[in-house]
Amino acid sequence: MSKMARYGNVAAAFTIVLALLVFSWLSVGVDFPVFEFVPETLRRQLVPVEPYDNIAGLSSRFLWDNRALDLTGQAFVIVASVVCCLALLKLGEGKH
Amino acid sequence: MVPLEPILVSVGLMFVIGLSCLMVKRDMVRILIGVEILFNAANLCFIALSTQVPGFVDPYAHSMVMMAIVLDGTVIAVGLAMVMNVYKHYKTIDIRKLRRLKW
Amino acid sequence: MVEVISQGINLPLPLLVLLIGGLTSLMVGLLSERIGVARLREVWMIIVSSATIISIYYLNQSVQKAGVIVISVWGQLPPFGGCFEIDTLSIFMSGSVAVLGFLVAIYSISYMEKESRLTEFYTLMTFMMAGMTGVVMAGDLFTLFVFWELMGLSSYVLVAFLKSRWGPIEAGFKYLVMSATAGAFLILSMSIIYGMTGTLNFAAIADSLRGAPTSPWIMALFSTLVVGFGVKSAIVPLHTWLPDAHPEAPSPISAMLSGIVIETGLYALARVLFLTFDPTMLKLPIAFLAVLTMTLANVMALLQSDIKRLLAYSSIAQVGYMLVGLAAGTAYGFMGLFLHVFNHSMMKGMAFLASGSIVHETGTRDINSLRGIGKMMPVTSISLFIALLGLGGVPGTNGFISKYHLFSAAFGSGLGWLGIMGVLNSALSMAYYIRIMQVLLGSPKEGFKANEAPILMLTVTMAMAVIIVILGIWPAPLISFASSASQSLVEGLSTYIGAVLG
Repeated sequence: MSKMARYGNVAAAFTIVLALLVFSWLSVGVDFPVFEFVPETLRRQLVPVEPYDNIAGLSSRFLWDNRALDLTGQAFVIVASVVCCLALLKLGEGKH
Repeated sequence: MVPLEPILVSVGLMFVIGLSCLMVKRDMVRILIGVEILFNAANLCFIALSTQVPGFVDPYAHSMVMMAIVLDGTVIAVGLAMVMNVYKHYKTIDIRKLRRLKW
Repeated sequence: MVEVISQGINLPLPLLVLLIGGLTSLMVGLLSERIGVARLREVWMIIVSSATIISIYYLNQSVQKAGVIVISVWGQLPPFGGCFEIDTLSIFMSGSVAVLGFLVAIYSISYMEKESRLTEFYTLMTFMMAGMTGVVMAGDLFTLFVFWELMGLSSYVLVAFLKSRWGPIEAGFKYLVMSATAGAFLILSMSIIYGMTGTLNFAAIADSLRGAPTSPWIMALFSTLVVGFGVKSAIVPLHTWLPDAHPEAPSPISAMLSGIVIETGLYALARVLFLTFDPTMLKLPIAFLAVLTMTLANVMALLQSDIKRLLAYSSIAQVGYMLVGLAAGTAYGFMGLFLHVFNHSMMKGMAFLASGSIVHETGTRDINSLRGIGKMMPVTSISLFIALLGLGGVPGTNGFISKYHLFSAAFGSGLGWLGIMGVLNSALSMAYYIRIMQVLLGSPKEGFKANEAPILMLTVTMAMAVIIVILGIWPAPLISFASSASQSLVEGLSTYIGAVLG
């Protein structure tokens, strides 16, 4: 392995260990400010936990009632990924 | 109400596992599996934070995760198509045989 | 002063044109194989991109009248529904996208005429432009993410398009892995914002999270946002995909990537950082990143011998200059940033297109073997000469004007050392631009012959050179447009919040 690659691996390992230490100190040492900054004009729609089987149905109804714009965009992403796979996997005419 | 600290620590751990899988493995398909682990860790963080109001679950986070899963599935699919093209050229999917790929 | 459109299904007009144009481009491609008419796909691409420019003009009229336009579907208003929120800054950025896309479409008629799979090429280019337009018009973080993935997905495959050689596929795979990792970091940062505020809407975040005191979780949010957006904007040390991806992509796609995809990443970083944090908190980290980016890219560019790789490192350096404007944090700094975005798209786009003509005619990318090309391809060399002068910041071109605004904004906001570093780096970058100019003007070896490029490629490069010189001598309309764009970001914040939250 070349010298650059070895230094790169050592630096990457060091960064990862440092990131792990920082993240675990963050999550255990400092309390996460859960929902501290909720704006007052937000009236939240929450789903009760009790009948467990209902959570999926109510979540998907929330999705269709409120996020139709993102679902439209997501449909176009799926079309784009089909065209991408076509472009990568089609046999071109001859080899350039 | 699910306690938050254990799940955040496991999200951090999954990030570290995903990043090291990405950097260490020499098989291209395993590198893509590392990317998938990273995506799953980020989605887990969303779900963990949606249960923090006692007795209730917030469906907003669930909608985000449902859409994010589809989006990263498409990215991995295109990555696998690229791996097939690399195999056609080099007859191997060992990333150390690729001539210029220096991390 | 604001206009809310929310009944039925509607999208902003340029976005609708580009998305429907992409779908029909697929069908036109399939049709043209059956009928056998020669240039149907290219003509359709030119129709779609000129329709985009016209629709941006009309949208601009309504935004000037209304201030801020909020668009959503089926009455699903924010803060729960996804929405588009269009102000002058969105019009400025999508105008840059459309103009560069139109010029690149004309260029790629004659550059890509011998390639296969042209249907997918034009369809993916249209989807990439649609994704960029969606990113600059988004009003909600998740809408931005969906269109960000659309833009990224198309660009991964466009980089790896010429799949019969090993170089593009390797570069495309590396780009995909790094960009997908950044997408995971983006989702993590969205979850941290959601955990703190309960919503992902820009206006609601700006209302509640903006003045918060600095705590360790806020710094964690800042770092994940910078990593998430910074891989696409090529900030050092997250830039390592760029020197491989830009040379290996086909030349029109290199021009679009360097010219406008990187800058869309920088726009998203500027918008989200400005709306979530106080500008005074951003100064030192972003200034440090700017100095690192500029210096490393300029030093690495001096060592290159491949012309497109040198231009790719030069793009990273220009992103460093734009970060200087972001670090300044004032309206003047943002004006310099967006002015340099448009100017850089013209100059770097034209540099890539001109060097693409040279590579197309001679078949080699090595600078040392291109000596004397100026005598055999005079028009292309003059255009490349003007582009390099503009990139170096010589007075008389528009590069000088935008760099002047950027560095004086840095001086004006208390970061004098940053302005001095910027000026020094700009002078250093002239060293490698002069090296290319020397090669262009040298005397050719025997046996080195090349024809002039085809007429369409020549027309596009000449037109862009003329635009660069005109904007350098008479920059006033562009400066006033960029100034109103940055004012709508910085001073129009209360209008922006009031449009959504009432």
